[in-house]
Amino acid sequence: MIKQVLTLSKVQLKSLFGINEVLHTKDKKKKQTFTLLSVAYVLVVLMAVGYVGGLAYGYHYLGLGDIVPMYLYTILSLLMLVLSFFKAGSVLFSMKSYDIMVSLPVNKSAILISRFVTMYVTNLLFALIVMIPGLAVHIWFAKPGIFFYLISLFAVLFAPLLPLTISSILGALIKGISSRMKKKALAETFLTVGLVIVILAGSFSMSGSLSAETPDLEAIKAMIGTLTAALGNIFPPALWYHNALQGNALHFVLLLGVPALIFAVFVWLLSKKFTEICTGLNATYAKHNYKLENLKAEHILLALFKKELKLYFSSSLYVTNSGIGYILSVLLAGAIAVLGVDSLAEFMEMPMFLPLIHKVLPFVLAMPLCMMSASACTISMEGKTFWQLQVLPVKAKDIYNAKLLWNLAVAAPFYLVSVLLMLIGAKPVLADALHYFLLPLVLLLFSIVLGLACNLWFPKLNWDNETQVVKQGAAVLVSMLGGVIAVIVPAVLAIALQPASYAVYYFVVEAILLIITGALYCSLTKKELISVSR
Amino acid sequence: MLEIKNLTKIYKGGKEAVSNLSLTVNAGDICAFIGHNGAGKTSTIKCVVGIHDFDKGEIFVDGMSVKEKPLECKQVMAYIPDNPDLYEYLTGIQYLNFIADIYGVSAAEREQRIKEEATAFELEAALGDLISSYSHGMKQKLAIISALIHKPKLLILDEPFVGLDPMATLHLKNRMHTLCEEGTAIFFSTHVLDVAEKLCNKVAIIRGGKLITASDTKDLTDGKSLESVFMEVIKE
Repeated sequence: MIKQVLTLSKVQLKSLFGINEVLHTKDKKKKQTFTLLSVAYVLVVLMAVGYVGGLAYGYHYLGLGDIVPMYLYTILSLLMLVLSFFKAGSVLFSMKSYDIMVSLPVNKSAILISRFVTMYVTNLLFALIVMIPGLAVHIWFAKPGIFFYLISLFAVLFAPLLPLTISSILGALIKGISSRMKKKALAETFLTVGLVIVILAGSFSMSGSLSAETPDLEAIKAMIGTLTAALGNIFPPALWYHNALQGNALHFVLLLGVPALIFAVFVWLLSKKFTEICTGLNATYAKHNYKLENLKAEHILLALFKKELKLYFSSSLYVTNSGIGYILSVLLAGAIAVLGVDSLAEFMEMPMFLPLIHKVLPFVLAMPLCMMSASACTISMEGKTFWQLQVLPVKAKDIYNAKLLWNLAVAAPFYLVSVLLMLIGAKPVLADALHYFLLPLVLLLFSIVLGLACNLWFPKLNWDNETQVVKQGAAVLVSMLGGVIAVIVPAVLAIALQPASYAVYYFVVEAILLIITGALYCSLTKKELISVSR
Repeated sequence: MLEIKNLTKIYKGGKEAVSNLSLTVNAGDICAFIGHNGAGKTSTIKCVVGIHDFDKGEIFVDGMSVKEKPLECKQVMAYIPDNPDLYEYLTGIQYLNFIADIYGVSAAEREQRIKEEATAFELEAALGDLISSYSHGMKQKLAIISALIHKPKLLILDEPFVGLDPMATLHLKNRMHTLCEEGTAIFFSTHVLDVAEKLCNKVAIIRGGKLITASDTKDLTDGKSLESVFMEVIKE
């Protein structure tokens, strides 16, 4: 059984990050793409390292160093829960490759565990990125003994198990409920988005409850006990980790034993019904009673646009991954409309940025809108059907236009609602109000065009699982970085330069972004579809 | 209708898949393209239909160069791949409507053609279902119907009979004959030499990316079976 798990896991892991493909391809472009992707990943890791290191430093600076390990552990578990939750259903219960594997003389549990191994390895990498810099800063200040290292090592190794189990159960439930509905993908999307909003709201309230108990710097040290208890109430394993570091052997056993036991029971139960669940969740229903009548002819662009919409809404992973930014923008603008800018900044523990936030509010609104552009994987999502677009008598430009229009149509309602809510909450003067409309719109256009351009630069048409292109694709990562830079650079410049007229500054930024977007659009429309798959 | 002149296709990494290949398929011809696995059949076909770029040579469809007038060439031809990867998120009828919209087929014409072909291929009842629920053969039938929807002048098929049931195979063969009588040129790859021998007036044999022979079926076989001729030619 262990040998089978190892063999199957080895095959599964080979598809991870496309390393095997790069090792064996003769295509230089693929190798270059991989190098660029690695650079982008390194950048993201460095950003994460800086953020986590800074967070740990801040806590130590405030005299709250003792809670750093458990705080990091809690954040890590929450992040792993959200990340695994998006892909658990599609990775665990995918029928692709299952048919081949199930015909081999291997145990079903081995197939199941090998699928868990892929998710475990990605989560473990993530855990290392979060925990190592945070704990390094903690070690620098606290100078703990050898047991700290040992306990933390085991804590990190066992950390992915609980989030993995919970996200798998939730993922299976969502797939199970939606598979019984007529509009399967749409139901799955609604359930996923709903749950993500609940998790986000939970994490916001957690942040609120922690900050509410930190009245001033003098009293902070006295509050360590209360904060520890608060974190422990929210997530008991964090408390076990904290207490294990203090020498509590029972809590060390609980820290490793409880997640391992829950995971083992879950895998055992799941393996009993794995085939039934897989086939049940992936079943398709055919009515077989169609009668041909009243067909309508439509314009090419409309036909392509409708096809794009159907492709988008056929994948809940695609919708949730790209739509979460749009939803966040509405939530953020809604919070500002209800609480006002000042209260929100205080609630988010950022009162020091209050005077600055007022100056860059259009950028704040634009950030979630252009972080995850759906157009960044629209070419890759065509996958093995891409030949179809290549052989049709349609200009590449028309296909790109349909893809851009569809993305704009999906984002537009969120953009409009966000801007209106922001206007209600921020109450800007008329000259500024214009930029509340214009700047996010220009940035949204830029991010959509950039997304498509990135996907044309880094297409991945040969994939087994949507996760590979929606969440792990080079195009998605590069366009996300590009979108973030396009927002942050002018926002930081606005703060640094303190222009005499912010209205003029915004006009300049909008003009520059429009020129870049136009140039990008002109360049991408020259790309022929025949050269995409090469 | 299809004229391939000195076609050479080299893949990244240096592998020459097609080497200096020249071939002509006239209106009314049914030409079988046969060869071993990896001989270069699909590479040649993909160069013709616009999936692959090529390094040397020229390809003309209805007198137009596929490099200079790709859209005009695509407008008059239809292609059915060896593995029908279609849009699984569409229903059969949505897919056919999409293809008809792209080729600019009027509502009345598409309705009549879909009705005829879907009835013949016994697919009409399934047209309201998602393509993801179709079997391989049903997808193949849908791909064939979609290829016939705009009455192409040149029909290119890659292993068209794989996965089809006997009824559908018979219908496709008959349909190929009628299309040929109406002046359509048909160029298709196959491993089923029996079918090629009975169905085609022309046969082209490819080995290692090079065209070994291309001539009338009768002249090539000269009383022997195509299978024995193929084996002789390939061994030479």
